[in-house]
Amino acid sequence: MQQKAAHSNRWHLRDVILITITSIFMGIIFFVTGFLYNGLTLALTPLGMAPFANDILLGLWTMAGPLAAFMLQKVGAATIGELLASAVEAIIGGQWGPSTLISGFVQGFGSELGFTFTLYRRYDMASLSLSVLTTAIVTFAWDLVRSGYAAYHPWMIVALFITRFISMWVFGALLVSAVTKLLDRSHLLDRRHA
Amino acid sequence: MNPTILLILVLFVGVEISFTSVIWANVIIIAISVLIMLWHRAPILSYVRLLLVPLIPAVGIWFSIRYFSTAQSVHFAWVMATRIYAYAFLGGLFTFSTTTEKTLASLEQNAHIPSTFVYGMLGAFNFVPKIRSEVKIIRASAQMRGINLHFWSPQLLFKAIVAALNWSENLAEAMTSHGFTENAPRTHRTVIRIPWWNYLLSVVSLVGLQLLLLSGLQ
Amino acid sequence: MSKINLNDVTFHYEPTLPPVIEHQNLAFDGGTFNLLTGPSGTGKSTLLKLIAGLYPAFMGEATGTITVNDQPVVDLPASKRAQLVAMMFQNPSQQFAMETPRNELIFTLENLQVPADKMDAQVNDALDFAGVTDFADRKFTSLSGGEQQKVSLAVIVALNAEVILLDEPFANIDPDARLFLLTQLTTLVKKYHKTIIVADHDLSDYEPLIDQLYIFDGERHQVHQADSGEAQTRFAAFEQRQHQPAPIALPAAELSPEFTLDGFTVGHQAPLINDASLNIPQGKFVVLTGANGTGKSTLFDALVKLQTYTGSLQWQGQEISKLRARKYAQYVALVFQQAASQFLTITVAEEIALSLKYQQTTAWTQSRIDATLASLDLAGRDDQVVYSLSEGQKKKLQVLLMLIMDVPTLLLDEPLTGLDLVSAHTVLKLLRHAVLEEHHTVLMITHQLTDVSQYADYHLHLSHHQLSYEASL
Repeated sequence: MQQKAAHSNRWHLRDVILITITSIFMGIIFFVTGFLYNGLTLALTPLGMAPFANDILLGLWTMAGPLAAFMLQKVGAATIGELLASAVEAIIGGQWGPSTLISGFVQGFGSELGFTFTLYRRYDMASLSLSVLTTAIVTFAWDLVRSGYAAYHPWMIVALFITRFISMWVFGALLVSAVTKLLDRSHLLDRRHA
Repeated sequence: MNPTILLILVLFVGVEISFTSVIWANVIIIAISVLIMLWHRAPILSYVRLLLVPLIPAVGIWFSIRYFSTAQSVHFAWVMATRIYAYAFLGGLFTFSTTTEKTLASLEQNAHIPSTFVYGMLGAFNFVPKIRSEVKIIRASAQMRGINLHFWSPQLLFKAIVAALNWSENLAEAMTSHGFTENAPRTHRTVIRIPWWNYLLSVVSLVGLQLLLLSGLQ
Repeated sequence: MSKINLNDVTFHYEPTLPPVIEHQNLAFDGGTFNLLTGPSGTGKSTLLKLIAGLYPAFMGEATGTITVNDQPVVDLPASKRAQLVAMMFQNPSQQFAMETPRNELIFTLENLQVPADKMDAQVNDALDFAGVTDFADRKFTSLSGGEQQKVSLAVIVALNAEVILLDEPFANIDPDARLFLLTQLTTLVKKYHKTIIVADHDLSDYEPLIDQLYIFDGERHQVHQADSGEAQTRFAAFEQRQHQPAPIALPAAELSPEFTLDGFTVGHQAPLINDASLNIPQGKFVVLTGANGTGKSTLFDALVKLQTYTGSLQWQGQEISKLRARKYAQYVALVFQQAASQFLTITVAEEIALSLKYQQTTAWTQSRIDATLASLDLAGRDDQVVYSLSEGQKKKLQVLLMLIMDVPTLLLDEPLTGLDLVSAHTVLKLLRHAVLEEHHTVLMITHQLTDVSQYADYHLHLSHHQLSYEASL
């Protein structure tokens, strides 16, 4: 008999643990950015530009989705990965804010779309960039409502969107791609059965 | 209150106030959250934290709406500032009404979230102290090789994932050997129920919120 | 019929790699205590995980059949299999899903679908047998390695499995806990007719306990049962390799100190090292020994600012807790116990290039590195992924990478683990050279003491929470 597990879209126990631990790592590594965010917001408040602080750093919080998609290559990995990351944030931050889970879902859904459009066949810079674009669009649509972005002057809306896209591209595409290249070259993911 | 019911209620209220612009609704949500936190005897420090943490973003958005929104409306500036506080206090309400363990147990038993997710997450959380020290070790060992890793360094995240891969493998194998079968039925030493008044209270709260939003209050 | 049967089992991690186990036929009888030994990294743990049904479910590809009680283990669902074959894992802290021992046992019984009203009695019995009752409600993160392995035993007892597998279970635990666990395991065999297989490279204390010895031959990728003659030879050889101490000098009082401890106390829950005061001399090769779990690595962590302490701990007259980590790392560096902790890139060549780029002096040239790589039997591996090296190769590379950095003071945590005798000598020679020719300070933790006294200057020993210099090594 030949025994080997087949690739599947099911989430296994170790996938959940892997993505959760990775999210906790990211939470701890990016903890310093909390101070950065507050500092930036404070600096930009007198100019009335505080929302830019959010959009400059937002890319950091949307990395979990594409990273999970790359590591697991499953349908739904980006959405569930980002949701798990937001649950981690809620639990570690000791702050079960409803906004954390809702944003987690919105971000994950946005990121997932990019991979859906490539039919879950491509895991490279192109699909990452597409995923960043869909994440930027979906989360921005949500912030037009939730964060009142719709009330701003059109030039401010455009500037915010561009800022968000650049941040998401730097972290969600450039950094994620650098990390996954290292992972690919290490062959550490090859031994795991999907 | 049952954590699943409370979570759904809090999420629903959170989404609804994102789509509406009634300052009074936000203020009343904050007030009710404070009352519930008082009832759960939340420590003084937690109120201070809930007042301080959203302060910077709330002030920030108040100014930006005043300066750069097309209407430059004072009313909308206050809607946004109080909305941020309402989110924070809804979080406080939930945090002091239950614990992470109870919430996850309730999500397993009442919301029927797959047990793989519930116990996978619980297991991963045992690694929090190890993860903190691993980040220090990765940084220190890089420094000893002359390299300073920053939060944006790919090597830092890569090394973190290498550790996560290792640990997740070990823990998943151990949990399997402790009889855990993915999404198979399990018994429960503590069975979590949803009392009837939970439904009643949820309906009353939601009807109250709709009345408040439709009442014409600003 | 035997309890456990392996029938023509072959296992690969990846189809492209050579098999770890090849055409293995093996049987273990019921109600026996079996020891599986062999060099580290050969595949002892792979074999146990195959019997436990964890492989190939989690990793690799297998052919052949493995049965327990005539049932193929791969066909059973995890909850049924757990009641047949239980396992204690190598890393004590990475085997629990819940926060406390009691909750882990409840979790286990819930998995087996034990009715709620029957749980508490079973939990309490298991806690009691494994000596866990006193700390059943403490968090795992506050328990020592030995305490965690006792909890693992409690889980095994609660599962009431007929076969108990232990994968290097004593690697990180103190001698008292090891002795207690061995006693309780013997009870499980004698009184409850459990079948036990322990994988361990350290043979001490086993001879009177075991029924059979099995030996893993890494060259042939096979395990065989040792007959009584071979078993005796093995145990005798192990005893002999147990080290004969040689005399060694005590440090003179006038030596200038590299590190100074004064009323130094360190530990997580209870102090591991209590109120220690002494000097560690500069420009010498000092060996630090002590039983598992006594706090040697914790002392190293304190020396490199990874662990807080009370009392005073000084480096060249400056309090270590007050030094800036980044600057200090240029003077004092640690060769971590987990070799992989030190790697930052992917291939051997990249790692060496990285060390060359950031080295503090030019003492290490490319030609010197090439010669050293050859002497460490690492030549020709430039493009190999560091994570695919054997544990011994990782250790050797790690030591070389840190030597190239040419940091004045080097702390090494078990650099000789998994090394053959020739490699161990080469590494010791390199360290000796760093001390004599480059005037570096070397402080090394080791369990492997054979011939170390030829290279070291002093022997520092940790026991009963105290540090002291010994006149023999």
